[in-house]
This record gives sequence, C-alpha cells and structure tokens, in this order.
Amino acid sequence: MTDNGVPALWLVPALPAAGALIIFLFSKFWNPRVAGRIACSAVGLSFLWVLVCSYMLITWPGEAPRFTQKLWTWLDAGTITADVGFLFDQVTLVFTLVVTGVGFIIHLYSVAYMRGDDGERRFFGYMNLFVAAMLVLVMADNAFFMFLGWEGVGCCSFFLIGHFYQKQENCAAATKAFLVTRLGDIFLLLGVLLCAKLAGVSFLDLSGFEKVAGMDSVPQAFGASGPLLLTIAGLLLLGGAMGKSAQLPLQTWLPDAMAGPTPVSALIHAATMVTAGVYLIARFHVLYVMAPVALAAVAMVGVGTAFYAATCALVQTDIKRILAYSTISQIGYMILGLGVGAFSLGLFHFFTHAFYKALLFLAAGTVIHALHGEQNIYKMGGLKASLRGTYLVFLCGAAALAGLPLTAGFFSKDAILWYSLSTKYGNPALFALGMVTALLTAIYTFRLIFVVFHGTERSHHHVHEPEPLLVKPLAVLAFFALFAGFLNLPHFVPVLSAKWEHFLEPVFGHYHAHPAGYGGKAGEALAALLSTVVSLAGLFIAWKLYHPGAAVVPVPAMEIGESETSTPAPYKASLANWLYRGWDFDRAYDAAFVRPFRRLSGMSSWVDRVIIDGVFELSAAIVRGVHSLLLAFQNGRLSRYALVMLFGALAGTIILFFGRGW
Amino acid sequence: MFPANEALILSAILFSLGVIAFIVRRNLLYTLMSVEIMLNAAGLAFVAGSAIHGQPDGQVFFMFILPVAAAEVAIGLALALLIFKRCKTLDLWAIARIKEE
Amino acid sequence: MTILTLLVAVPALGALLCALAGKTNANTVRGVALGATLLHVALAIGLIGAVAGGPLIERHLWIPSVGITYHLEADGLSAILVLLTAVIGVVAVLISWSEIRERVASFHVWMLLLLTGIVLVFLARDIMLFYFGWELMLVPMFFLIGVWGHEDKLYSAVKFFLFTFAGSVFMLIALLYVYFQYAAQTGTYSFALADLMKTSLSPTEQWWVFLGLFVGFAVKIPLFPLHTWLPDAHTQAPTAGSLILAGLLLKTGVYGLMRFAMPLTPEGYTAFIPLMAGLAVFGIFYGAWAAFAQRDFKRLVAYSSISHLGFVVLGLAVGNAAGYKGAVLQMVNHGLATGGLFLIAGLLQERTHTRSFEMFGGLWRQIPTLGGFLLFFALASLGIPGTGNFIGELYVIGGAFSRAWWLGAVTGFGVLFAAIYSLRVFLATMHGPESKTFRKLHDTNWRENTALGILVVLLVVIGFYPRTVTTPLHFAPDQLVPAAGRDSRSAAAMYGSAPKTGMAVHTSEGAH
Repeated sequence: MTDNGVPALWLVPALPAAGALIIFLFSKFWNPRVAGRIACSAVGLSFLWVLVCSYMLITWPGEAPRFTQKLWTWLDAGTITADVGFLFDQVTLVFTLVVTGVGFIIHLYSVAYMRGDDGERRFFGYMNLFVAAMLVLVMADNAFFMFLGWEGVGCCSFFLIGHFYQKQENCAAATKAFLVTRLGDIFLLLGVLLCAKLAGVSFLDLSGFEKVAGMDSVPQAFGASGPLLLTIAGLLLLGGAMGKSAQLPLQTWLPDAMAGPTPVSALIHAATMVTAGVYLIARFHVLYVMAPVALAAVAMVGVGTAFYAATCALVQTDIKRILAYSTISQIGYMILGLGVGAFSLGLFHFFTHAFYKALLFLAAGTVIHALHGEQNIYKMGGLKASLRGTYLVFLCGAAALAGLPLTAGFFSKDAILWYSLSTKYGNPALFALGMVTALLTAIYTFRLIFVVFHGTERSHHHVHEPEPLLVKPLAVLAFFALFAGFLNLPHFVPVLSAKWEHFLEPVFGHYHAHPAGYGGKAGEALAALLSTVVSLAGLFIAWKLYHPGAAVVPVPAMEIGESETSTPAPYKASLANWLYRGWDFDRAYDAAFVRPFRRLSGMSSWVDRVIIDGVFELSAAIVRGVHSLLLAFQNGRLSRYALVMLFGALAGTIILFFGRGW
Repeated sequence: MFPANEALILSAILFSLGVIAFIVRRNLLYTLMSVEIMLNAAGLAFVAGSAIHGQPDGQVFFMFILPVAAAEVAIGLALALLIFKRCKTLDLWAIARIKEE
Repeated sequence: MTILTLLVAVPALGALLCALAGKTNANTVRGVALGATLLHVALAIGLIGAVAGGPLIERHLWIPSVGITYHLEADGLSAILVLLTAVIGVVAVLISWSEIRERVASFHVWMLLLLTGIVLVFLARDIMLFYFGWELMLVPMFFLIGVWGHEDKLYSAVKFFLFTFAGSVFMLIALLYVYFQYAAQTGTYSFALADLMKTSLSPTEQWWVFLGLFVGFAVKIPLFPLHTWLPDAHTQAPTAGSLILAGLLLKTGVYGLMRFAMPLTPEGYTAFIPLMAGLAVFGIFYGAWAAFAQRDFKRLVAYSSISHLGFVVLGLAVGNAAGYKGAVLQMVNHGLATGGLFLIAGLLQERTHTRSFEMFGGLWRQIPTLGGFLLFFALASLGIPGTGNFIGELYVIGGAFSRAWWLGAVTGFGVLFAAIYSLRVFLATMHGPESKTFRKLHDTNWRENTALGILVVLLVVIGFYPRTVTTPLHFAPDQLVPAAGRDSRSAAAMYGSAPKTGMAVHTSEGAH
C-alpha cells in the first residue's frame, strides 16, 4: 500500500511474473509438480490482490475514483514518452478480475491436465508469464507500456501453441499465430505512434483527441486534417485489434492455434488474450467517437467476423476448432458492440464469454483427455453417460454460447444486438446479420452437443472417468456462465437493469451511445423475444439435423487423418468444404504472401552471393590475373634482372640527357 | 696532376666490364667478382670526382665503400660456400631451378 | 595518468601478461585474461560515473612537429561504448574457455590487443591516434579469424582485412585532406579533432570529405553494398571473434560516423541524409530477406546484423533526439543480442560440430537451458518489448516517423521480417522432430550460463530502464543529442568543439 492509500498496483502483475521467474530459474531442481503449485499460488495471490484493489476502488470515498501509480520513467525521446505506470479503473477491474480469476481456475485445471507431460515446468512458467503480461496489458497507464504486455502475451501464446514442439504442424501453427498477430502489432505500433504525436497516449489524457478533432490541419509533417488523422489512427489501432483478436482478415491463425494444450486454448485463445483487441478499442473509445468512420469500420469488421466464423464453425469436425471459430465469432460480437458505441456492452460480452468459453474449452479438454487425445467429434458420440459431470457443465456453457434465454450469453449478446439496431451508430443491417449469426451459433453449438454426447459411442478407446480436478473447477465457471447475465439485465426489466452500464459510466461517460428510437423499452423487449426465438429455432434445427436417428446428417464423407493436407475436402458438397477450410483464406494468403516471400528471400540471398559479392570477387580475380602476368618476370635469374636494370638505367640516362628538349 | 678524365674513362670501362660479366657469367663466384669490380669502378669515379672538384667528399665516400665491399665479399663467399655444400654446384640457373622444385 | 589511459592500458598489459604466462598452463592464461577484462569492466563503470560531471580529457604532446597529440577524451557516448567493450570482453573470455584449446596464449593476446584497439577508437580525439587504434583492431581480428577460425578461415580473414583496409584508406585520405586544409588556413598543423572542426570547408569539399569518411565507416558498419565481407567473416570466426565483431567492431563504424564524419562535415552529412536513409532502410529489408534463406546458423545471424545496423544508421540519418537515442540503444542492444546468438551458435557447434540447420532440429529436449537462452536472444533480436532491442527500434521508428511518416511506416514493417528469420533460428534448431544424429548433447555449464546470463540481464535491464544507456548521452555538455523538436538540426552539428569550463578536466601538456 502506498502513502496515499492506493494499493500497490504493481503487485498484481509482479506476482505471476515472480512465479514465472522462480519456475524458470529453480524448478529444474525440484519435482515437476512443484511448478504447478507455484504457478497456481502466484495467480491465486494475484487474484486476491485484485480483489483487494477492486474493493478499495468500489468503496473509495469521493468522486470518480481511478488509481494510478507511476514506478519510473521508461521512455523519453521526443514524442515517445512513457512511464512504467499502472492504472486501475472500472475497465481494468473487469479485465484483471477475469484474467486472474478465470486464470486461476484454468491453472488449477492444468495441474491435473498436464500431469506427467515432459514440459510441465516449462508450461507453468509460460502460463504465469502470460498472466503477468496480460495484466500489464490491461493495467498499463499508457499505450507504449500496454504494448509491452501486448507483445508479451503474443510471445507466450507462441510458446504455448508450440508446446508439443516435436510435431512440425504445431510449430507451423505457433509461427503463423505469432507472425499474423505481429503484422497487426505493427499497425498498432504505428497507430500508437500517431496517437502519441497527436495527443499523447497516456490513457489519462485521451481527451487530447478532442482538440485534434477540431483542427483543420495538424502541423508537423503530416499535412492532413485532424479528423482524417484521427480516422487513420483509429484504423491503425483497429488493425492491431484485428491481429490479436483474430478478426477478419487476420483471423486465420486462431483455428490453427488449437495445436496448443487445451488449457492454453481456454486461457489465451478464448478468455483473455484474444480479447485484447476489445480492451484496446474500449480504451481508445474517445478516439473512435471522434472518428465515426473508424467506428463504423469497427462495427463492420465485428459483425462480418461474427458471421464468417459462425459459418465456418458449422462444418468443423475437430472439437477445438469448432470452439475456436465460435471464439472468433463471439469476439466479433464484442467488436460489434464497441463499433456501435456500446462500449460497456462489448466489455460485458467479454465478461460473460470469458466464463462460458473457458468452461467449454476446459470441458472439451476433459473429453479429449478421457478419450486419450481424440479430437474428432465424429469419433466421439454417446459420452453423455460415461462423462456425466462433464456433460452437465458442457451443457451450461453451450446454453450460454447459443444464447438460450436467461443464460449469461443471452443477456450480453442480446444487449449488443439491440444496441446495434438502436444507437446512432447502429442500423438494421448490422442487427439482421447479427441475428442470422445468432441462429448459426445455436445450430453449431447444439450440433456439437448432439454429436459428441448423444447417440452411440463411436470411440474405440476405453473412456476413463476424469479425476475431480478436471471437473470440479468447471462448476464455478458453469455457475457464472448461467448467472453472470444478471449483472446487466435489459432496461425493460424493473430490477437490476443496466447495472453494468452504470458501473462503467465513470470511464465511458458521455462517449457511450444510448438507444434512440425503435420503440424504446418495448422495442428492446421485442428484440429480446426475437433472440429467444432465434436461439430456440437454432436448437430445433440442430436437433433435426443431428439427433441420433437423423437421416439428413451432413457427416463427412471421408476420413480426416492426423496430417491434413493444405486443402482438405472431407465433405461431398464443395460449399461445405469451402467453409471447412475457412473460406480458403489460408490458400489465398499462401499464394499472396508466403510463397512470394520465400521467393524474395531466396532471390535476395542469391543476389547477394552471386551479384554483389561477385563484383568484389571479380575485382579480386582481376588483381590475381595481373599478378600472374607480372609473375612471369620473377624467374629468379639474377643476370636477367641485371639486364633489365641495365636497359632501364640506359633509358633513364638517355631521357635525362636528351629528353630536355622534348 | 691526377689524370681525372682518364680515370673516369677507366672507371666507365671497368663498370661496363663488371656489368657484362654480371650478365653473362652464371657462376656465383664470377658474379660476386663482377659485383666487386662494379663497386670499385664506382669508387674510382668518386675519387676522380673528388680530384676534379678539389674536395675530399669523394674520397671519404670511397672510405665507406671499401668496408661495405669487404663485408659483402665476406658474406657472399660464406653464402657461396654454403650453397655449394647444399647444391653441389655454383651455377646460378641451376640453383634457381632447384629452388623452384 | 588518468582512468582514460588505464582503460587503454589494462587490456594491453593483460595481453603482455598473457604472453608471459604463455609458458605456463592454459588456465593461467585464461585466468589472467579474465582478470584483465574484469578490471576493465570495473574501470569502465568508474568512467561512467566520472563523466557524469563532464567530459574527461587527457592530453600529451606526442609528435608536436606534425601536430599529433596523445589526446583521450570521454563523454557519455564514449563511456557507454567503452563499458560495452569491457563487458563483451569478459563474455568473450568466458566463452572461449573451452572452445579454444590450441595456442591459448596467443589467442588471448590477440583478443586483448583487439580490445585495446577498440577502446582507443572510442576514446581518441586525435585523428592520428584514432587511426592508429582503427588499424590496431584490424590485425588481431585478422589473426583471430585466420588462425582459430573454421573451415574457410583464410579466405574470410583476407576478405575481412582487404575490405576494411581499403575502406580505411578512403577514410585516411579524407581526414588528411581536412588536416592539410586546416594547416593551410591557420598555419599550424594539428590532428586534434576539436581543431579540425574549425576548418572551414566549402559544401563541395564537405561532400567529398564526407564521402571518403562514409565509405570508410560504411564498410565497417557494414552498409549495403559494402557488406559482403561480413557473412564470411562472421561464419568463419571463432565464437569470441564473432562476438567481438558483431558487438564492437561494427559499432566502431557507426561511432566513427557520429564522432568524426558528422561533426567534421555537417553539410556533407546533410547532403548524404537521403542516401544514408535509403541504404539503411534497404539494408533493413534486404538483410532480413537474405537472412531467412540461409542454411548456416552463423550466416543467418550475420545477415540479421546487416538488418539491425540498418536501424542504427537510419536513426542517425533522421537526425532527431529519438532517432539518435535509438541508434545508440540499438548499437548496444545489437551487440548484446546478436552477440548472444553468436555465442549460442558457437556452443552448438562445439557440441555438434555443425552449423547447418538441416542437421539440427528438436534439440530442446537434450539442451533445454541452451534452448531457453536461444529463445530469449531470438526474441530479443526480433525486438520483443522487455528487451532493449524493442526500445531501440521503437525510438528509431518513432524518429523516422517524426521526420516523414512514410519512412516510419515502411521501417515498421521491417520488424515483421525480423520476426520471420528470428523465429526460424529458434524453430529450426530446437523445434520439430528430434534430430537422430545427435544424442546426449550436454547442456550448458555454469561458465556458459554466466556468459549468456550477463547478456540476458543487460538486455532486460535496458528493456525496462533504457535510461541506463540514454541518460549518459545527456551528460554535459549535451551536444550530442538533438533536443526534441529540433528535428532539422543535425545531431552532428551540435557537437561542440571545446568542453566548457568548470568541469573535471585533466589536461597535462607534456613539456617538449
């Protein structure tokens, strides 16, 4: 605790960082199980400290509290100025609670899941490092320091996707994830530099954008008008968010990232890291409100991605890939929420999604674990009986994902859809596409349930009952997946309505958009009813298509092996195959970027070796040629030398005496 | 009177003889002797010059040339002896060939 | 005798002691070398503290008839680079401990002489003394590569020597031109940098003089297209040689630009900015592309050096505070991170007798600690925040961005390609199916861990507190760092001629 009563914020990321350091330095002297315990206690302590900070923030006397803490000056070069400093406000509170809370549960789960793995120590070291980096990301008080966490989580994601490093595909997936997100990071960095130039990027004085928005021309080397620059900055930041949050068109890395261990998928690629883009846009909400074009782009990217990923999820056969696409889709909803000015609702969807998606991933992990690593849903089936507990929690998560009424996912998604219609940034097209996506979501979610847990058992493995640690922690998540929605009931409900929005008001204030038109509360109730109908319709369609005796089941026609080709085509219908391959984005990128880069690289190397070095080698060869020519005179015969000297002397004499007149 | 002009002519003839001998003879001993002749021819030219100008510089130079020539002969003969021991010949061309091989 | 002379003398005396200890066993020689380098580090740290109050100067007449003085001087920039030299020296001794088994004494003698030359370059303020140090670096490096190098060592050693020597001729001609111009204008002969900066040269003269200096220094940096000696030299050099080459020798080129070329001919520098920036940006991409295609570990890292040094030169070319600080930071970080990669290449070669990526793969299970270090250095090399490289690149990109937004934007994408080749280094060695060829490689020992650990700690310290490097640049008289907002003014033009009064000045004019 510091002197002014603000709790020591730096402790929150420092605890897991210290855990990681201890594991990396010392754990090789210990039993591998110790690493898991250290990691869990580090994250657990961090969570407790977050609780303390949150309690103090909420009960802080006085107006609009916001904790800040500066440790030391980090960067000081012209416009690039930044501190190592922390900020704790309501947005940070939400994110830190999820990161440490859900993180703690996933750490607990991992202790059981990773038992006996070769890289157990390494795994927990990276997990702790990840939590530390993620906490820096959400607690930094300026964008440069945030970028440290931003890249840090990318690194840890890379390590953990490549955890089973002996398989080439996993390394390829890890590299792909790192490079694609890094491409986004470059946009982010340029955006941050631009923002730094325009208004400073400490989150405390984002209001500087208001000044820029009014300028006709911004001085210093840019020559553009203020609003245009703000739009560019907003788009650049959106580029960063696209990379990290797997939004179109930089989404291709996330499905492949499922190569990592399942707890990693739950923590990094579902609950926390991939939502960094949501955090980023929410933090820079001032900028986006100043630049409506950028905000519209955000909304379009969000709803487009939500729809895209939902269509892909319909036909996937790998249980984790289905969940990965659903993650992309759900983040699309969050981004859509931000894009229509409903910043707090984007965060609310993040909050509920973190619980139910982590739950789904962990439960999927338990299933995979029970089936000795099998991930293909068509090789599962009928697990309802043998994995009773897992089935129940999975069902809770699925209900929330599909948006069945009164679950957490229902309230958060429905609110976003309503705002996408009714705020001044919204329009019916966004709303309609969002609703269609909601239908698809319900279909693929229950397809998963029916194929995996119902019907006959298709697995050849003996299903063994998972140990308690693989199921018990999930109950906590299941509780939140079902009931977290009650934190923000719709406006038309007389009690507890819009609690969440009020809670975040100190941060977003008047920048937050509000519904207007479309019948107010009545319209909202109608939209909620529509959501209900849509999700139930999805459930019904899924039952029709995939219930155990269904005749029209679109099941893959051919076996999909472990090593997939670059253009897998398991279905008879080419549309299904196209969806299965994620709209062939990978193939296009391969042709447009990967292969040209390889050629460019090979060419550079060749040019260097042959042409540029060749020029120097050529000059060396010329010197060598002259050398061998002159060598002919060096025959070692003294009298010849004397003769040459004699004639030389004669010639010299002649020139000296008779050359004067020339 | 010192016949300076004649002495210069003698010096030129001696030097030319030395050069020609140096070029045509292949035996190391003769080569050394021809070098010696050239040196002494140069010394004679110095003395003659000294006489012409009536100054002692030239003779002083000759005093320097004498020990240099003596040292050269001493080292040269010693080398010649060693070379003969090793190569069994004093034919310079033959020695050069041996070196190349 | 001040600390400046001691800094030059300690490695030289160390070399002498190593030569004397050559008759005894090898470990004595190594111990002596380690002692000398450790003492050097202590002195260098002392130097940083000492220059905080102002520059240190030591001046004696040396050859007064032509105006050559023994003039050493240290400001913040020199002090940082001297400290880097000392630290790299320690690491180099540690890492050669088990690698060098033949002619141990002469190896350490050459290495310490090399360090002497480098320190002299960083401290000399008399052009002849500087040139002496410059050439003094050449000979030991030639022998380090030529004697203790790998399969193609003679070719590489000669190539290194010819390139840098040819470059230094251009440099010498340019410097002598200024010298004679100064003599013609004032009637006195002086090789002192401070005096020569008073020479008035027309823009055309400045252009030519800068060209000469630029060619000389660009070979050493190395800038495209004068870089082709670097991959060969790096690949063939022994580990310590590669480390010193990457960590220090390349830096002398940049330092020469900053200390001599830019202050002597500010207008020449201004005229060359487009070319410098163009070559630098092109080098960033070209080096990264070419690096990715390499099959030899050390060759890949060598090409990555070209890319990294592109950032340094770009930082100088943009000529504002951010660019300048970024350049200096990047010099230091590149020395540490790329040096670390070369160390790992050396350790791998010691264990596996190959540097080819095709032979590696899946080694992580056998050598996890080494793999961990490799991972760290690979990430540092691609500029991950938390390591110094990020700060350096950020400053340079930011500086370029301030100068011209498109320059910053283009440079930013260079970072992406850095990520591609850096990951390749790590993935190709440690990941993938385990190589069948190598069984039971032994992991790092405490000595290797210390050597690598020093580099890691320094990189992280700079990454979180970059002011360890940038604050000394502001030590009075702060003429090196352009103030914020004075973008157009070159960093060079601000280098003042004479230190201000009231500072810790140790001047002793030797009586003749």
